[in-house]
Amino acid sequence: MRCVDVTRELSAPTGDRQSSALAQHLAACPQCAAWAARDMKLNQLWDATRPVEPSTEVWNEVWTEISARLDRPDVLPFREAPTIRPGRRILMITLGVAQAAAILLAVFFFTRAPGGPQPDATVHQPVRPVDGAPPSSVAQSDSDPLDIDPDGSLVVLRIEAPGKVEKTEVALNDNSGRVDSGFEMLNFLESAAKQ
Amino acid sequence: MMSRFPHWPRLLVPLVVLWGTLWLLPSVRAGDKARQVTICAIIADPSNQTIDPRLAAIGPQLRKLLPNHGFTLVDVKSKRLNSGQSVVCNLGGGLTAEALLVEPLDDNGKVQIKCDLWLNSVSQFSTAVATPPNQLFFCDQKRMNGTHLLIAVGAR
Amino acid sequence: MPEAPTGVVCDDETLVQLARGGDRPACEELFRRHRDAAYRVAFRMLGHHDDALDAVQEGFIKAIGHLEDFGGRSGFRTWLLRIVHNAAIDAGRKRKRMPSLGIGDEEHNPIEPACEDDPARGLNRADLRRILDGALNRLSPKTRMTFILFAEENLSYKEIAEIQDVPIGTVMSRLSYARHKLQSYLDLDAIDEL
Repeated sequence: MRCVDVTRELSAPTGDRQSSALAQHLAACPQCAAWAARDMKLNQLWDATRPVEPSTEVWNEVWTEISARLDRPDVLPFREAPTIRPGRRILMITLGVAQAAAILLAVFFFTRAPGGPQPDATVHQPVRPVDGAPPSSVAQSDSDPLDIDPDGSLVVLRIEAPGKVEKTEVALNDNSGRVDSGFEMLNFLESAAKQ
Repeated sequence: MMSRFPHWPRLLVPLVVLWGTLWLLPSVRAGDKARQVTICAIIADPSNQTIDPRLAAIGPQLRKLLPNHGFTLVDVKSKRLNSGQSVVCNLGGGLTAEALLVEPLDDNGKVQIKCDLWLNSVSQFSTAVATPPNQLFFCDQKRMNGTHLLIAVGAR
Repeated sequence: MPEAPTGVVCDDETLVQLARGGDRPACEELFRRHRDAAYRVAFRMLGHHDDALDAVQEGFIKAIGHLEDFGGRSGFRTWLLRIVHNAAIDAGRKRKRMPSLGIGDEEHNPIEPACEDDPARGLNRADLRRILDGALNRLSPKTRMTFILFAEENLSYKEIAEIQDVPIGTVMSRLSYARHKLQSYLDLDAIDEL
């Protein structure tokens, strides 16, 4: 085990490393042992300075304020009303009128489109193949997606034939209890794609 | 004589109208619900058990999917997508794998993705999946030569 | 208190459903359950009691106002902490308040710890916090938050990744970086009494 692996494992444990190998390295490497001792001190410092939680009275006051804000019908609870400078008021009115006109225009064109309104037209557009030609066959309908809920496993869809999919789940043991292997794989691949 | 005052306020109105019209398009409105979609193509070979160094970090997990196989990374792509957009992996020889984001967040809190394999624009397989965010799933197609084409797809 | 209509103690999901329908006691119960965690994170981030309370307040108002956006895939606490995390980062950015200058009643004290020159004298809790906050404040807000979520709330890498919308590898890298940096910023060997 290299020193860099030791400090990395101590900083962000994965559980992948054998604890005996870690202990063995720490026993033999004064530098890493000193690092580990300081890290333990940091943890102790963190514990010694944990914030004191507010009293019930304080929380009651906070809740009263939240509740009052939620009751205000004139103000969106989650957005501060911006202060409008006089000079910007005209511009904002212009923008508002223009936006209303845009909405009217868009609704007009939208309802005049052949076949009438198609709310999810963009979503369900056929997949554009590489050279732009339409797909010759579609094996599965978009409207009937295969529902997967891996719950810690990896889902594999084995393609037996076009339209025939066999779903299997492969359990991935996670020693640390902190790292979801499927999630880790996704992040690894995402990172690999960006390199 | 030219006016000393710029015409930009009058020009602004059609621009705003254009912006307002664009804003109404579902793909633009969906901008705030974009997903980072990743697609990856891997060849699993039972006759050569070497793991591509680029896949070494996830080798143990791949071995669980297909024991006694070697794995070679063919291509991996990741892209931030809105509804209706796709990310494509080029596998060579006219083969492409494509992940289309159908629904960034459906009523069940899942991401709907359509995964396709094309050979010179002819669909080899197509499957639509509703998957939780941050989860990877694999499509596995056995090839004539005994190897497997694994297409991994996930969205964050 | 929210136990809910049946008198049975509800889980968060049930409370969220009730709260979506405008059930104020359900909102209050969600607040009661998660206010301390939200406060701890905001306090560590901002280093100031009142600022932390403001961030918690804003976070809850946003959360309750946007319950329809809560997909339910992650827990309510994770989702709430994501909102409080953003509120705290916004608050820190807007006020540019140095956490180490704003602890309790010692708001106007200098940044240097009062007892640093005399470790034998011992450091009280406020001194220790000032030292730690000074070091934490030297980390970038995102790295600081990663470390806080891990160390203070013991969240999993996955939960932190969801809160911060980054890959899990980034979470782990930030944790490693944060620990190395904190070690270099803090004279841990000089702090004897903890």
